[in-house]
Amino acid sequence: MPSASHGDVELSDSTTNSQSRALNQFLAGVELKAFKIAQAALRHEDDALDAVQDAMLQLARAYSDRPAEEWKPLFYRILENRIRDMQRRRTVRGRVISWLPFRGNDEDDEEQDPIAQAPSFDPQPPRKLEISETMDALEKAIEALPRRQQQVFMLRTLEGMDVAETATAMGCSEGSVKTHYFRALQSLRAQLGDFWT
Amino acid sequence: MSPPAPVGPMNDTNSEFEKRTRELLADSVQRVDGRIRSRLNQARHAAIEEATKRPSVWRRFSLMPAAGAVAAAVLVAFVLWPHSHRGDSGTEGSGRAGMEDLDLLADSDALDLVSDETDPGQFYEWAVDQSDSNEASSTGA
Repeated sequence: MPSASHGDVELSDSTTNSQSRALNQFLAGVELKAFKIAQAALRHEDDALDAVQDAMLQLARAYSDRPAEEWKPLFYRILENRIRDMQRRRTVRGRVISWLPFRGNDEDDEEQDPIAQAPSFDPQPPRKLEISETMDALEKAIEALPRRQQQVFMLRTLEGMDVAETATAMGCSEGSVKTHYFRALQSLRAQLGDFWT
Repeated sequence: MSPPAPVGPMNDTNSEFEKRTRELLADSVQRVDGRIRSRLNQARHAAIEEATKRPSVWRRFSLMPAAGAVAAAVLVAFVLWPHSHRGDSGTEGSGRAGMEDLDLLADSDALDLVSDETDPGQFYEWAVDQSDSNEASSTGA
């Protein structure tokens, strides 16, 4: 029946389009936060971008036909796995490089961009400067947290996920999420006390 | 024994701290620069493209019988191959050995043993020894 199959194609196309729109909307909503989370874990912009890009592709390939409510924990689960893979690879690479006899110091070898190194002459208003300093201190303190605490803290605070969603994204129990979150809060408060008074 | 955590005031301070932290982090997201935003945008479009390329659920179901038939053919060939290869002598034992090999390959615990870095390959060497000694005893050699 040609008309029926034509109808099926139309139905399939419209479903695909609405699914694509929903996926686009979801990814647009999480991409910046995901980048900040990956950056805090990897401490490197391009690695963080790669991790987020891989997570987006993996979600689209494997889970785009799952219900949209499941996307957020799935996406962050994939991202977390990707971050962990990259950290492991870095550790291995670091070990291998440490054994190489003629390793150069990349940081020393890199040419410094004089413009990037020049001090900024843009005078910052005191309030803006204060916020910027506090933000830097916060980001450094978050980067220094143990990995699981950092992950829980970012998912709960930045992404606004509840305990159950965070537990699904991290593949652990809700009790574990609560414990890590509490410890992260205590640790950050202890480090940032001066900036918060 | 550590003293119990203070309840009321500490929780209030924590909530205040969380609120402030949330605001700062939200602000830091807004400050992400144009280069990063552009690359994220490209990554998103690539992901959407990937999702639309993906075969539909119906198409995947339609491929399942073909995949099942291929898998069944491979399975039958794998089980029957020792029969045709070794001739009439000891065919019963060979068939059984084939099934045992299949069990070993299909066993997920065995796969764990393969990936065990402390004992690579030893499990399969042991399994081959076991198989040879069983065949020898069944043929009376």
